[in-house]
Amino acid sequence: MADLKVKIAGIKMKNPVMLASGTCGFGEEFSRIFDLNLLGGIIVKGTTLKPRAGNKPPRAAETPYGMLNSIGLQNPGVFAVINEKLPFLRQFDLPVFVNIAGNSKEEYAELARLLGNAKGVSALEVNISCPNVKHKNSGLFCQDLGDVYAITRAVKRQSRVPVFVKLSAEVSDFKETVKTAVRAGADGLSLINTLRGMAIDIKTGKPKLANIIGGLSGPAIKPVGIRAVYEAFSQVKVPIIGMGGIASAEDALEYLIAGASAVAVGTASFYDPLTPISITKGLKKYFEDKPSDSVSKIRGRISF
Amino acid sequence: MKKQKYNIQVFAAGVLSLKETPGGYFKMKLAASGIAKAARPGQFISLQVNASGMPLMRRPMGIFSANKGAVEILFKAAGKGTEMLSRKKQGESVSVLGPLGNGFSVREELRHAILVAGGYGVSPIAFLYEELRKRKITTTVIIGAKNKKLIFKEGFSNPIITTEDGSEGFKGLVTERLNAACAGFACGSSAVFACGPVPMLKAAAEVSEKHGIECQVSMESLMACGVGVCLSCVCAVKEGMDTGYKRICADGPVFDSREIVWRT
Ligand SMILES: Cc1cc2nc3c(=O)[nH]c(=O)nc-3n(C[C@H](O)[C@H](O)[C@H](O)COP(=O)(O)OP(=O)(O)OC[C@H]3O[C@@H](n4cnc5c(N)ncnc54)[C@H](O)[C@@H]3O)c2cc1C
Ligand SMILES: Cc1cc2nc3c(=O)[nH]c(=O)nc-3n(C[C@H](O)[C@H](O)[C@H](O)COP(=O)(O)O)c2cc1C
Ligand code: FES
Repeated sequence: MADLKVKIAGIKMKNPVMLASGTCGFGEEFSRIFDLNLLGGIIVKGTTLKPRAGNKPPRAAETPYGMLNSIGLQNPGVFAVINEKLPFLRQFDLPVFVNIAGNSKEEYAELARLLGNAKGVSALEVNISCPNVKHKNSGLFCQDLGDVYAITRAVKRQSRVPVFVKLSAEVSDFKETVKTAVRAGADGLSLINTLRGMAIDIKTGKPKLANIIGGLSGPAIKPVGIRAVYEAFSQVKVPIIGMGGIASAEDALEYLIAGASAVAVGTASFYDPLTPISITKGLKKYFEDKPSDSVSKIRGRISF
Repeated sequence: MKKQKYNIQVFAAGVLSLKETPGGYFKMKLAASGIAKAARPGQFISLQVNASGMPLMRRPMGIFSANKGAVEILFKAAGKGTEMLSRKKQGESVSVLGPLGNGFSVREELRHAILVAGGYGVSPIAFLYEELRKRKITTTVIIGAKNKKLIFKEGFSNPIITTEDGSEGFKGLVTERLNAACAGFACGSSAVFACGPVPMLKAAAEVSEKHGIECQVSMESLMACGVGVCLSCVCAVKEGMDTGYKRICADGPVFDSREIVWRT
């Protein structure tokens, strides 16, 4: 049997296949469909200090090989996550990454303090790349290198667990952004978040999302994710969780070869909730056929 | 470790038959014994119409019937996905996910049900109708459509038909007929169950509430996941003094009408 075990930022995982934030809630729903113990890890929904109602519907639109969403970080708030959501996940043998989002450096730090000390949290994923919440100049936090540094640093100071910084590929200098996060202390990177997009109903002339602009995800964005992982791997040594359009073992392998240490499945779980299971099976088969290779050995092994 | 219950299935279901029906619908019968056994009226399944990713998302469909290892759906070829679904052949298979959603809830004290259906809303209403008959609960069925050509009434005995152009049954909307039906029944032991376009649901809610009769509405929205993880399918609900959002796929699709904040 091929061994798919990986260790990222000190966290041991049975396999490199995780569920991406915002596409698996807090695990309850998918636990009705398959055994969560089969996953490498789970990255739960973006969590904020206070509960958030989220954006007005319609919040999603289908696009060619992808979708736009503008959920707006609907979540029950950090206290409900700690008291009601994490206890459920603790019954599984499963590393839990909690995705956090704030409006200021101080909020991120407070979230890191509360969640970094909560039982059953393996790591934090710092979302500074959400296209669905408004920041000071209506851009993303990760588009300002000063914010990238300050927020990462603030979270790192408070957190007792490893910190993964989640970035968007929509920044002017991606390599510099990656280096800044790592310089500020990031233990790992999550690449990539959704890309901002828009769709219009030509019959009514109205935008398809109430929020007008939303985040594009799904197979359509895979090449952008591969590029981001490749560029990041060329700059920094920290582990990278690759995501964006992963729907098959082949997609996962492509990310690993580009430089990812693990992968996360997002949108594909919507149309096939068993995607992570079939990816794990596919990876097993791949490494059985190539016994001298392993997940960590093929990392970044692009032949030019 | 607690034993988990896997009560939502995803699998390739064989197409047992596909027929065109009156009203311009397609009725598809799928081999799905697990879903057929578990399904309650008002629940739905979600179908992958094309495994190659165009369109990418599954299409949700109300359950029309669930019997002897098979589930039936009734649908309109409304766009590219349903169009592709309507061209499936007997013997092909379609990936289905389900059963999904909460379904209608039928109180112990219920003696009479008023069922209101518009468009393909007739599909889950037909399933509910069968269930109520088995439970010896009497029904008044009101089916509304733009015109005669769009009416599907198979399986219902003596439904009240309303058409906007008067080409069959009463001319006008379902509202007036519902008003008359509500007036005839005691509020404690009767309830209204409605499925159809939002303006119809809203009107049904208003009429029922005026008569003090419980009204359950089946809502709909575009759905990305269908199981409650993506939060894309929400509708606005009253939460104390505030407005919050609930997931139509997992908290619904059936809601008590008094909970809904209707969009104007
Ligand atoms: C819980 C639920 C149960 C449903 N049950 C049935 C049913 O029993 N029979 C049936 O015929 N249809 C049903 N629908 C609607 C059906 O899912 C849509 O008609 C279908 O998704 C449209 O797909 P399409 O690719 O054919 O259309 P598209 O090409 O995607 O769009 C065609 C038109 O349909 C609209 N549309 C797209 N998705 C939806 C949606 N989810 N709901 C409503 N309108 C949509 C679009 O805005 C557009 O105007 C149900 C929807 C929900 C949410
Ligand atoms: C509906 C939806 C909700 C999401 N919510 C979050 C979120 O709360 N926090 C976050 O960091 N990313 C969120 N994402 C982004 C995903 O985690 C992922 O980075 C992105 O979708 C790319 O992967 P995919 O193409 O496999 O979906 C969300 C994506 C979708 C589609
Ligand atoms: S469709 Fe995903 S939560 Fe309802």
